[in-house]
Amino acid sequence: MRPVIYIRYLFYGFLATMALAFAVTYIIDPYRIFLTPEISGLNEKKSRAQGEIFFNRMVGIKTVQPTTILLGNSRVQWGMSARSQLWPQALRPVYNAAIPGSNNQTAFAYLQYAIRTGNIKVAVLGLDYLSSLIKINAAADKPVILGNYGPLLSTENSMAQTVKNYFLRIASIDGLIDSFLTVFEQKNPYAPDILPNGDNPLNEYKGYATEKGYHRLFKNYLSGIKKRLGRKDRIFIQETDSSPEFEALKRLIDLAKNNNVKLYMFFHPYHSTLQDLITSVGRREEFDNWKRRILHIVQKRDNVELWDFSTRSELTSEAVPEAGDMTTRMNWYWEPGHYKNGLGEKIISNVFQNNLPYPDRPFGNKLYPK
Amino acid sequence: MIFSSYEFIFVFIPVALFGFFFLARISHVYAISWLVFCSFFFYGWWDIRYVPLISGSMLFNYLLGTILGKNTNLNFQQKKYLLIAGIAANLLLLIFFKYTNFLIENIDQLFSTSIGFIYITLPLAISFFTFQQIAYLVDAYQGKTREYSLLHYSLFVTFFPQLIAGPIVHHKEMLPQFSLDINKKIRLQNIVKGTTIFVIGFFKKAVIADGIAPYSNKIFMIAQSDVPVPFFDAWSGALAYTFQLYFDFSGYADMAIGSALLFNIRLPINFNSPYKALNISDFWRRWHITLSRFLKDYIYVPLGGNRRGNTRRYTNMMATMIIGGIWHGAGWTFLFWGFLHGAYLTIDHSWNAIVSRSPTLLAARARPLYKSVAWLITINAVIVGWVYFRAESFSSANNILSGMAGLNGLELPQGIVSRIPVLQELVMALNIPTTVGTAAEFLLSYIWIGTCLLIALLLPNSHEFTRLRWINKENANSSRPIAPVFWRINRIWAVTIGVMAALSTLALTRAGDFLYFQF
Repeated sequence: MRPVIYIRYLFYGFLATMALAFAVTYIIDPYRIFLTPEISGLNEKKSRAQGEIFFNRMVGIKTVQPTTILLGNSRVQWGMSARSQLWPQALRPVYNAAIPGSNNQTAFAYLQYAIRTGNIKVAVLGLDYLSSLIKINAAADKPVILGNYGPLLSTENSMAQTVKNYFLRIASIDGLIDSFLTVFEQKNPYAPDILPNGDNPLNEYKGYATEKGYHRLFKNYLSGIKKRLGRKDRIFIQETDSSPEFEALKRLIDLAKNNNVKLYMFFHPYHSTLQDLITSVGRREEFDNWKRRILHIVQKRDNVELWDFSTRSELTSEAVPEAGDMTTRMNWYWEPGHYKNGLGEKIISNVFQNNLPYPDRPFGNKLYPK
Repeated sequence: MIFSSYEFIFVFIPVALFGFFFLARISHVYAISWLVFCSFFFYGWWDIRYVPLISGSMLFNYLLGTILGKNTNLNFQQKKYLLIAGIAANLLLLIFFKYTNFLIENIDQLFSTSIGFIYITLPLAISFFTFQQIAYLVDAYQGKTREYSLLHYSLFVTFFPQLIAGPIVHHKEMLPQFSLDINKKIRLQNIVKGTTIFVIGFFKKAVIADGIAPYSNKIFMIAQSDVPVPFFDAWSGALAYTFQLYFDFSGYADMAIGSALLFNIRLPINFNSPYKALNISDFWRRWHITLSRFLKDYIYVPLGGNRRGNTRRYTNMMATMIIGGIWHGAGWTFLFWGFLHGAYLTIDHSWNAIVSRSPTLLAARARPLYKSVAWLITINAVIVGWVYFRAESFSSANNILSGMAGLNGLELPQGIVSRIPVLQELVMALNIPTTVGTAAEFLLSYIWIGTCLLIALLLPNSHEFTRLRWINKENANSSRPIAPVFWRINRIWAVTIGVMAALSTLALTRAGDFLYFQF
């Protein structure tokens, strides 16, 4: 064979594979970023979207054009529901832009993006003690990790960046592999998913709960949290009363105020479940200081409401099934760090509904304004 | 600029290639000048501040080499002092950039001082071009060099395919190639073969090495945080790194060899299926071959080699490997890695001495069982070494090694246990803890490791695969691959290589730097 013919066939192989990869990734749209039609059994369930959650959220916000945006980490993503019927009509549509593992700095970036690209009127932010723990020598202006999306979230003229981001997702072997896995997992009831309104139905946890029982889920999570709390991380930078997290929170509140966005913030109910552990590792005072510091921050602002669901209540003290009990289903918790939608409904109900439909009040207190 | 980047593959290489062959039709000097310019551009793309450094180093060594190589009025002793001064200058430059902070850190610890760190960015490739030029000076002193032009010498040092991470080329195998007229014409056979080897390397790096990297990174990160790493995780982390490093570095070497071949330049082979080695000496004849050659010719032999008895021989071997270890990085773990390999080599040579005196052992050596055990011991010794090489501290390396030895206990993913009844019973009987939500990752890590192992052991390496002529023939001791798959110029291979090129391009979105760039 002549070398020229060899090179020609090599190019054919190259171009055909690239074209096929582009087409598959575009049609299956594993991260819901191209917004191609969703066909049941083919690409409706987005089991791999969590892997590109930053981009997924950006496209979601732009597409849904929400009036209310939910911000925070996995506790908000899993526990709060944008599709809840309890959201007042005036606050809909709601979009769940929470990102697992994220913090106030990420929340700030996404609120900024939502304000720039849409018509946000209300933001709901879950406040989390664990994600506020930082290295005591951290810089107060430590940049937040947003993958490639930092510039895109904050810049007005970002066409080149947008094109680059789409290109990097479609011309990607991960995109191709995730496309195949997306198709493969359509019929798996326990495959993860991210819904168009940003909610995470947490199918995989339904699987774990059935397979392992709640007792084990609690045990595993607690041992992880114990390690986390055993580290030297604290809420403040050494010898200050500040941290990148508190600074980001202040910026976020100001951003909301300057754009006429009403901000609802709340301490997660899971803190109540972990109170004994927090006390046993000697962090109780620090935990209270964290709450006090946030209360202090919001007290001079008029566009904010601060709620506390972290106090002990009947709901947050739900009994955990015994070891080996694989049938008892918990109503409010997946494990101590993550509550279920049911508890999230009660938060929505308490904060946004005048007539509370639940008999088990009071759950949570309004800390500010009194 | 790195090989596995859009700008290198789709812009730099085509422009460099076109310019080279276009200018070669006009003038040989223009063509070589163009390649030198391209090489500086390639180097400066990373950090332009260090272009003067490499230029200065190059000019200094060229001048010194010319003086040492010429029949000047200098006597033997004067030349010797000049050589020592030249080597010292090169080493001081390397020590300043690479080891200053390491030295400060240790002085601070030892004498409770607080000198503090100095902000120094390690110039890319400094370890490689320093060694390459020290070899040139030594050879010039020994009268082994010819009179080379500054232009050719510049290309010898900066030629972009080998500049950043080797192979560490030798002047006698490179400079004559720059003068050959035949190399100034497009040779389609070389374009085809070079492209094929480049794509194989690209695939090794972008698809395999970067694909397996997350599994090793995760485990070494856990180990660094002092969380005890259990048995299966420790093995998956160590094995994943073993293959990540091999496919990353040998992928780089293939891309270097392939891209050089496009310009009709042959680079020496740097990897010859090292994980097929049956003893540690064999491993070092197959792994980073050009570094081994340098260490042997310019450190081990000048130290006395094996000429002064066994004790001196083993001491020399140990010293050479420790220098090799610290060359890779300024850290005690690198030094210890070198020490380990020095110890391995000492044991290996001692064992060989015993075997050579025993007819029974000599006969057993050819048997499959002996070979299997030898392979198993060798590969495990190499893996243990890689754990220290990769870990950020001794404690994290020891954590992983404890895990591999079973001292951190066992842990299995519940998702796997619950699907295998026998395993479930065993886990319950032995009270082995299980983890939630890690089954897919656990399985994938071992699938990756299994696949890499099969590729490394069964398939021919890229030189064997493409039947490329080896210019460093002393290392051409390859055995016949178990799966004799060989490349030919035909449609099937053309399309296959095209598909591999596309998959590698698709993997660029996650491509990390080459591991050897840090050395």
